[in-house]
Amino acid sequence: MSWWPRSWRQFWSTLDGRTYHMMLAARPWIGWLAVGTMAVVFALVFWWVPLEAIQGYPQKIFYIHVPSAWIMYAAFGVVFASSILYLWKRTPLWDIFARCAAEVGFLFVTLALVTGMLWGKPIWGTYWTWDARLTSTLILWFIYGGYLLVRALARPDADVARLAAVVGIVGFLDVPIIHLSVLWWRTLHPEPVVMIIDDPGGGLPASMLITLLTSLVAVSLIFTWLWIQRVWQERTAENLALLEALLDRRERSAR
Amino acid sequence: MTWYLAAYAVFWAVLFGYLLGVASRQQRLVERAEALTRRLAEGGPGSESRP
Repeated sequence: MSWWPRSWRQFWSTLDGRTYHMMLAARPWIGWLAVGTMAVVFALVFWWVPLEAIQGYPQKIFYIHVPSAWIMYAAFGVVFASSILYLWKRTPLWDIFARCAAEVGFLFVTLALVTGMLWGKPIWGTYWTWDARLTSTLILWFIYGGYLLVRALARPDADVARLAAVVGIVGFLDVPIIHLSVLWWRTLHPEPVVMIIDDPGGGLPASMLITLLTSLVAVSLIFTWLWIQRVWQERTAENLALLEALLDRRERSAR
Repeated sequence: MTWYLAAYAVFWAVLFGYLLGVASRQQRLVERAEALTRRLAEGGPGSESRP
């Protein structure tokens, strides 16, 4: 078993390299699957799933709002796990994983907030209310917005990466608060209707549940593809910078 | 119906906007790689050892 790592050090370096190469190999498949699944979601939402009796058309926002929120949780879960691994292993790849997941996660928090506001207006009569779910989600938006701003403005070095990893870990504490806020406090935002431990379907009609889960798959694939693409770009940019520096040195010494 | 269509339009507009940003980053990376290839070609392999 020559491929079997002989030490923890070798295990981690093998995992880093293998994870990255597996991600790159899967990238085109994930991209095409995302496009195909999203086309199915379109067909389901616009032609198949019935109108909800009370809310009517605005309820269809549910099929993009809820998956965006779930993917936001998953994205910041990736930031959390990658930040821990970066602080532990100090491998730059984990920092790139965290940075790119934060960027794509920030996109999905924005989408969850905006689609929620556009759903809130016809149903609640207002775009925004300072209830616990909305406020804690807005706090998450500011946490990761600040994280990305600092990373964009600061010179990329190990100190900034270490500090960002700490923010990525601490910022994730807001995710369970967001999820449980509707149970802990009295909120205008409804309680979870699916993925409840006692009743995973949440009493949703089969057509709505199928549409929601298909949309969740599609949005997950979009997130994964965007994340891999950004990781590849960051990694490539770092490699190019290294080559440019080497060439600069060679040209200076040749003069 | 307006709100539902508006939400889907915004969802796709934001997603495509981000995708365009990713594509333009990709384009910049390609240009950097091409510039690097040109510099390497101008220097040539083992150009330091040439007379």
